[in-house]
Amino acid sequence: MGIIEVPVSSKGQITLPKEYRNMLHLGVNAKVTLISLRPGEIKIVATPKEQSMDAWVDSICGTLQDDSWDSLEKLKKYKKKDLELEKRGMEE
Amino acid sequence: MNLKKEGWKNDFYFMDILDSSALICLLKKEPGHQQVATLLKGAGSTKQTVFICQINFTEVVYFLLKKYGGDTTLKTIAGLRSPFLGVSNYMDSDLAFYAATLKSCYDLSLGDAMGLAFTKIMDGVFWTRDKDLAPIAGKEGIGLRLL
Repeated sequence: MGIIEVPVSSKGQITLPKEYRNMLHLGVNAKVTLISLRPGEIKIVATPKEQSMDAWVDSICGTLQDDSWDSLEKLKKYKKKDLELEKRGMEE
Repeated sequence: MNLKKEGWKNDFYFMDILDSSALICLLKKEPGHQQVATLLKGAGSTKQTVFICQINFTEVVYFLLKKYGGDTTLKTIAGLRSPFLGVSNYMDSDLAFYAATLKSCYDLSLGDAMGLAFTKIMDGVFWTRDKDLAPIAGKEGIGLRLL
C-alpha cells in the first residue's frame, strides 16, 4: 500500500481513495498511521497487519471462480491470434 | 519503481515473478492456485514482494475486461493491491534487447518474452502454467516454476 496522499475537506474530514475503500470491503485489515500534516493535505501510511496477509490471499483466491472454461487455454488462444496478426503485419 | 536502483536485485533471495496465467489461476481457483496462494502468504510473512511485470499485468487486465467487463475488473484489480504483490515498471535497454531476442528466436508473445527476460535480468523465478515456456527457460537458463 505504501504512502498515499488524500485531500482534506474544509471540515477537516478525509476521504480514502476508492481503491482503498474497496480493499477494506474485501477484509484487508490495515493499520493507518498519520505521518505529516500541512494545510489542505494529509499523508498517511497504510500497512496491512501481518496476520491479515492470509485473509487477503484467501479473499482474492477464487474471486472469479468459474469451472466452465480454463483461462490458460483462452490466454494461449489470444496470444496465438496476436502472433498471427503480427506475422501478417510483418509480411505485408 | 526502479527495482535495480532500489536494490531489489540481490544475493539474498530469488525474486518471484508471476506470469499472467499464474495470477489468473489464483483468481479463478484453477490448477496451481494453491502454489500461488502459498507463495503470496509466504511473501507476507518474510516481507518480500512478489512481482508481475507490466506487460503480463496488462494481459491480466485485458483478459478480465474481455471476460468479465469493467465493473468486475475494477473491483478485482482493486482487491489485488498489497505491498507484497507489485507491478514492476522496470525497463532498460538490456531488458528490451533480451526480450526482443527471445521473441524473435522462439516466436513468443510480447508478454511471454518480457516476463522471461525480466526474470532472467532479475535472476528470479517465473511462475507460470504455460508448459511451452519450460524448454525455452531451460535453454536460456531462466528460473521457471511450472504450476
